[in-house]
Amino acid sequence: MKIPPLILACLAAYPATAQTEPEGTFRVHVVNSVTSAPIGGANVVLERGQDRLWGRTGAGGVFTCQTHASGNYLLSVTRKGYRMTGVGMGKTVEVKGGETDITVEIQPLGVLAGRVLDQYGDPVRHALVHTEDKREAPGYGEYYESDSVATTDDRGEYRITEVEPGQHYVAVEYDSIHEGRTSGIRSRYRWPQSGGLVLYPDAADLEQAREVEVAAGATTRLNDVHLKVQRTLTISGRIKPPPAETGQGLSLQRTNKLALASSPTVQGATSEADGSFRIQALPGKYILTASDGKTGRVSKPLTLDVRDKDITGLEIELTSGFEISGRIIVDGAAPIDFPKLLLDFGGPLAKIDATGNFRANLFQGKGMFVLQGLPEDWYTKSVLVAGKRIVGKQFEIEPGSTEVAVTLSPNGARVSISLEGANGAEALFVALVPDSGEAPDPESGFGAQPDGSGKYIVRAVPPGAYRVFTFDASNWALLMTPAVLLEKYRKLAPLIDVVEGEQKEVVIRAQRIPME
Amino acid sequence: MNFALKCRSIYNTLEKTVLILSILLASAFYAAPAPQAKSDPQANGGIFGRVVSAATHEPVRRADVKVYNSKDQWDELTDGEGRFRFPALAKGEYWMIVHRDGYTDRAYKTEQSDFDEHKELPLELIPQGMITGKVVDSLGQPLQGAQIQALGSDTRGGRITVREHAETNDLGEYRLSGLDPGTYRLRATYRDGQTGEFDPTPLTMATSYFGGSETAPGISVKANSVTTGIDFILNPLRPATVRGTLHTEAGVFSEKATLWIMGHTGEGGHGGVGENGKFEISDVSPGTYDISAETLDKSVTLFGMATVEVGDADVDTVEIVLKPIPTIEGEIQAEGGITTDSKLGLVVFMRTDHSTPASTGVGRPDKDRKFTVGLIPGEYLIGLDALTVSRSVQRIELDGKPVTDRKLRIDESLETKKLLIVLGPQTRP
Repeated sequence: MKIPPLILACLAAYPATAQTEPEGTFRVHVVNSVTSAPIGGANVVLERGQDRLWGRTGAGGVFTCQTHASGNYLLSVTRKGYRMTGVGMGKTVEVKGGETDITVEIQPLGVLAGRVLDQYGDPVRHALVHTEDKREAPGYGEYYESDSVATTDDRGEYRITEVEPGQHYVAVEYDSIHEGRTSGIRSRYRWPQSGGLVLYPDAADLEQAREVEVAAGATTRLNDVHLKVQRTLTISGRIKPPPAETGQGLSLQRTNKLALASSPTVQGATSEADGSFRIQALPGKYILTASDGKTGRVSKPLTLDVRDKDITGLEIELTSGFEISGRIIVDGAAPIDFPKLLLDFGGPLAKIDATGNFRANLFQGKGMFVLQGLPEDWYTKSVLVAGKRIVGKQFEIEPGSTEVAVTLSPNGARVSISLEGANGAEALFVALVPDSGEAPDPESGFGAQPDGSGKYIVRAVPPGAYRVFTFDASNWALLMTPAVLLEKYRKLAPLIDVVEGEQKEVVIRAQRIPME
Repeated sequence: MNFALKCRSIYNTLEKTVLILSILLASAFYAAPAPQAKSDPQANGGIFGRVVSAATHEPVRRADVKVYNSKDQWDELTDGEGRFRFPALAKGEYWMIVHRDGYTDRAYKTEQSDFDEHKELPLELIPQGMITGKVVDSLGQPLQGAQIQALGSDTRGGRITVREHAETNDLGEYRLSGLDPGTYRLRATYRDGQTGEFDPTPLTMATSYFGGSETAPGISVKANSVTTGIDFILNPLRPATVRGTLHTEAGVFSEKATLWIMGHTGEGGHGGVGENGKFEISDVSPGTYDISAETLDKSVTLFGMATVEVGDADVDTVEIVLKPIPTIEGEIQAEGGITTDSKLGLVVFMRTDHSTPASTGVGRPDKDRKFTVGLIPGEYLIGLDALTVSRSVQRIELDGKPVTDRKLRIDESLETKKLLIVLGPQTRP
């Protein structure tokens, strides 16, 4: 039996603001960028300031609306299984009086399909199958992210949809606890955890895994994946000497930085008063470390390969850790309330006394300098780690104690930027990117949104040469990649020089950086 | 503003998701499985068996088998032949439970002969049923990501239970497996738009029951059956806004109040705010909902409820009358007395006839074993936590009248009610 169709077409545009006389008719033709076929049921949104028009394309792939004012609009088109190519939040289109037609190509994404079987050849229901793609983030290094995921059905079958065309690793994981929590399977009893992980086609880690190619608009059928499902294993032992601070002193970190749903990248655990500990883990490679927050002592990282048997009798020794001690110095006589600053090197917050002296402990030899709470117009002039000036935010130290010297200046420049030109009206953000010749990271730029008068006032700017970039809704995503900005669009951005303490007024022509 | 901070705010959502996921998963790891009891080395018992499908008599592999008694439990997974062994289990009486997804759980009580005869216990699991179908939009195009729920005929805590759920794939297809024999109503829901903070596409939603209405007859599912062709056509629309007024018996209620709207299966639960005698709750898809309102002044909490039918248009005429919540003064007594070092746990009142955010009340006994709790009028099930139920419950009385089956009915009278819970002797250490 089928229910009668609900023919309630919703193809009319919904205006969000008070109506005025229509100036023109605007039609958006949405087509598949690969086949040029019209796409029905796509959401179309036209935005101009607070005005918003929305509707869906009909069976012919066309959305029609009446516009009430000419000018530039931000157009965005969305539909499951597709993405609008080459834009951030949308595409800027010019709407005039009369009739306007525009064609928008949206790219079909790919589908990965296949089947997951267990060690006996039986289907694994509720396994998670997902893509894994390498990413990099400041202070975190390389890691993997999953953009597309599917769950297997009773036949072990999966279809991962909306996969970006290109190459991807595929991870298959199963965890009975995760399954019980998310799938709706209800048993009155509590069962021990079981699970498994395999990387396509049959690998335990990324070195042996193979990337699969996904084409736009195509379904790629992969070979069956065999997943060994087994109980969790126990890792147990003793920390010597027992940590003086109770709480989570153990860290079990997966060596792969995959975006797994069944286990966190880092799993914390506690030890007993006598230092003994016991951790449950699914098979895999891990790094186990112990630390004592009170003494700052840490253990050497211990690599564990958890396979079929429990790992027992481990002895983990706490040795001297990575200690940081130092001082904040002010360049000049301006006063500052040091204890109000928040200083972080990637571990617990550093404790700063009234004279600017501080101490901190790191859990590993890598640190990241972050200082917040500076008064207006103050900036960090330099950071010396073991006598060497660091570039950017990250640094490495040896075990033991390391001296860090931070110099602050109250004389950051204030740069007031006015935009001119047709593109200025759509601008949302202005950024100053250092043009020192070194590849900048997202932490090294400065920027501002417009104030009430429409000016972009950037404060606390250190002296130096900067490229000035303007961003609107269609390209703001480039903010995250200043190195790409400089490499590709340096010539579009005016160059300004800023000196210490300067109050600078700048008028620039707003540029439009195209998204590719 | 350092533009890295701006960047962070842009991809913060993802970062938070990862962090929350990690925390949730980490906590799952700490939720350690129940400790496995060590087998008695002196035992000369042992038990073993084989799990097979009742339909095909093929072995059921990777099935969880649990053996337990009042003190301990042991767990095994069946092997490639469906076999399990508890070789060192001492002779005795145990319960055995077998669980495997796709089958109904099976319980078995062991007998002495199971140990004496060293026979292989044959345990049959009954395969569950399945419903399959497709979901399309009004253009006939597949709808990906539609949720299909199998609703049971029973209620739990005032809610209709969702027995199983599945999601459609890119072809619009779903497979709702894991259904024990019974009758189910099927509901399909779909939402589109507002995928994130920066998605300008307005939210649209659609809900449909198979058969056309919430009261349509359900689908009968038999063991090991596959029911096909249970298809839906959904047309996602802008959700409605529900507006109304807040009153007390004295007139318009002008203070602030929090509101909560929720369907009878717990679906679509979200909040709203009331002020100056009016309230508004947006993004409500078609369906039947309970709206509850509660005042923020904790010294004199007022509460009110209303039921509303939402179609494809806004609802503007809901009236909620706020009334004080009746107070219960409770006391726990024990026959034979309670020693001064006896600890008593929480007394939980779970509402059974309606589900609202305030559907659970908690009494926290003080050193004199007395507690006070406010309960909205309705029927409640009284629950006692582990510390308290180590003693048997002898009787419960409300205003001197016996309470049977731990079911408590609270009427709208504002007079303080006296609840007495009498415990018996300790039942286990």
